[in-house]
Amino acid sequence: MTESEQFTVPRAVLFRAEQMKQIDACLDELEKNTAVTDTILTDITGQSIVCRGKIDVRDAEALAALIAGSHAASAEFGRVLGKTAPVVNLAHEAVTYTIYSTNVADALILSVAFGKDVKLGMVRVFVEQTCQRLTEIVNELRSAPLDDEQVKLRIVDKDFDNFLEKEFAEITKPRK
Amino acid sequence: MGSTQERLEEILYAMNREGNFEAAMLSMKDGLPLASSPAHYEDDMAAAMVTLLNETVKRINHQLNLSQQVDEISIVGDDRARLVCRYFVVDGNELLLTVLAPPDQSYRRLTNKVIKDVERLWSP
Repeated sequence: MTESEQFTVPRAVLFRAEQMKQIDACLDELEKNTAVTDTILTDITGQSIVCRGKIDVRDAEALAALIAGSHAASAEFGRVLGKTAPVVNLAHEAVTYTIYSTNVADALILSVAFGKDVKLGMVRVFVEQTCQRLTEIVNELRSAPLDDEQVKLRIVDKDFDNFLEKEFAEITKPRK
Repeated sequence: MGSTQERLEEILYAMNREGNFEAAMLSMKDGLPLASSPAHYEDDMAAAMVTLLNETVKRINHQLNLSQQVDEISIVGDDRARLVCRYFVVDGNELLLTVLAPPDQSYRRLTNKVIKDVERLWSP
């Protein structure tokens, strides 16, 4: 395969199955303590890693990108105002719900949504606790990264043709 | 078993009932509310005001070279009703327990008990 035939899709973070189990356990604990209704863990590029709650998977993908964009925009606000300290937490407060999101080790963004009966202080305490655990997992990943070959998505011409043919056949299939 | 907030609110509710307190609230030292009883008590405003009070007391302590660790602040009205703020640390978090007690009602024993209950609940 030549250089031009290979496409590499960059991903900021990619976890092993064992690490995903640890992340799930962290999020279980967070949900148990705070009664948050929805939880989304994304990487800073806006790729959804874990989505829990009543959000549709497609909506979660869009939401993940919006959250990452929101953090990036806030960082830019700070920069325009001449602030150098990084943005860590964001809270979107609506009348009946709040979305609180936090930066984890400059690699992930943990976001939770909760109703007006849940106190922000309580969410903040336990999100911080969860962040510490997630940071340990991220640091573990950084100290022993996955083999680079595993994170490359390789698409050769033949594969791409097959993929296109299959998708084309699917969308042109006569509807009943 | 409910969330931590629900369990804290149960503890506060039991204290209010036993002490005939009007309201009770648990908050962070920076003014973020953690739990309150009654549940819909205006805790955002109360927590912010209590935090302001805390800052003032810390300044007074500093200026007068008193102990930096405050145990309690009480404000007593002319009707003898009392606003009590108790300070304590759990798992590295500085917390405030605020109680609105009716005139001439004792509160130390009940608030001590709640502080112990919160410490027990908070510990992993």
